[in-house]
Amino acid sequence: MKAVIALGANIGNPQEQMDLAVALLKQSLDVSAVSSYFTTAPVGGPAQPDYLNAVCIAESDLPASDLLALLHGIEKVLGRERIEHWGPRTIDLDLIQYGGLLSYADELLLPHPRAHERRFVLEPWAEIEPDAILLTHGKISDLLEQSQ
Amino acid sequence: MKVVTSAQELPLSCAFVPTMGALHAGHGSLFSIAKNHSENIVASIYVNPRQFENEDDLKKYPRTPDCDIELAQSFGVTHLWFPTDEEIYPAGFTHITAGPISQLYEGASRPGHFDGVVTVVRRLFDLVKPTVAIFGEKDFQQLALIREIAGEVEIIAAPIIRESDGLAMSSRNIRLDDAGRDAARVIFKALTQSNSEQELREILATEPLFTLDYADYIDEETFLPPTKSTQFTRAIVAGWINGVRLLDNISVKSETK
Repeated sequence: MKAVIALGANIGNPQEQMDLAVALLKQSLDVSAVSSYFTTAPVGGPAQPDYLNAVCIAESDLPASDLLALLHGIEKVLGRERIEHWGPRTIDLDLIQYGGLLSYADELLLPHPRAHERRFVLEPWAEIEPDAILLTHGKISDLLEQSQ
Repeated sequence: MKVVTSAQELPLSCAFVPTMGALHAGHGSLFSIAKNHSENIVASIYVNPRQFENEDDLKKYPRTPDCDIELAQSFGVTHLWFPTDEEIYPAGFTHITAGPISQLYEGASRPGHFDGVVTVVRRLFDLVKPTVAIFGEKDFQQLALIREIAGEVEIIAAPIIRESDGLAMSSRNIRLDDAGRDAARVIFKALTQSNSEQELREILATEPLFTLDYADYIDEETFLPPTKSTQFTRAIVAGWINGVRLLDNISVKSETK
């Protein structure tokens, strides 16, 4: 099934962490496309550095819960508490959509409940898959237009 | 046993054990395993500057060539090779980059370390052209990364050899003082007496002289946290005592946390 995975990082060296997260995804999944890294200013909250965001498309046979566990595993291993001097390294990996799955379980909402209004998901996704459809919301090109 | 300084003096076919010297019984077990695979057992002793990200650690790395010759001989090594820097790194030599696993754990704490390791191992393989090479499971991440660059060389994993109190044998152990040596037992204790990542960390935390770097359960294939599809799980530990970096690991029954 085709998985749409969103990546975001804004602490430490975001570029390096995105590269590493993608490399680790490729180790476990058949990654067919990775978007450019988009720079996004954080919305609301206290002042913090810009985000790098990207979307990657992968083929996987894993049950959704296992795919999610894999994403959490990459987050954990990159975000593990540093005792030494390189400071925090964190990355967010979100499963946006997985094949035609609709899931309303608390631990796994599919498609991702806020993807339709997040430009930092729609924009990179549209770059690598311009005709894609976000289930229950419609064409991502239309959603992107509406979010402007 | 022949002691040589050039790969040209090595036999055409062999079982190969690359080392950085300061040989101990752990290396001895690698040589014994090598014996099962070839009549020619080649060992190299080369403290590879490119895998030390820290000048000081390189300077302090123990060098004991006389004892090494004796130990290699007693374990049946047929050719002991002391390569020169010029032979390993000729002018214009380019290094190779290790796979993504190299950025995690040991790699996160020692940037560039594994690029240095896979570069020298690949170079040694190209010069020796062994049929098999033996590496210890103590450096478990190193073993995984070497498998990725081994090409036609068959890689054999050798189990960790331990002191009588369980401490994994390492050339660095001799840098521990008495109190540190005593404290180091906590690592094996934690690995063998815990049933979860959390318990592992709790036991390690009972030893004030031990500074934890990481204590994690990993999927042996991906080095990510184990999931339901994980076949083999391993507990890996690293930290410092007396400023000496200590590593250990153990296979744990696979189960999702």
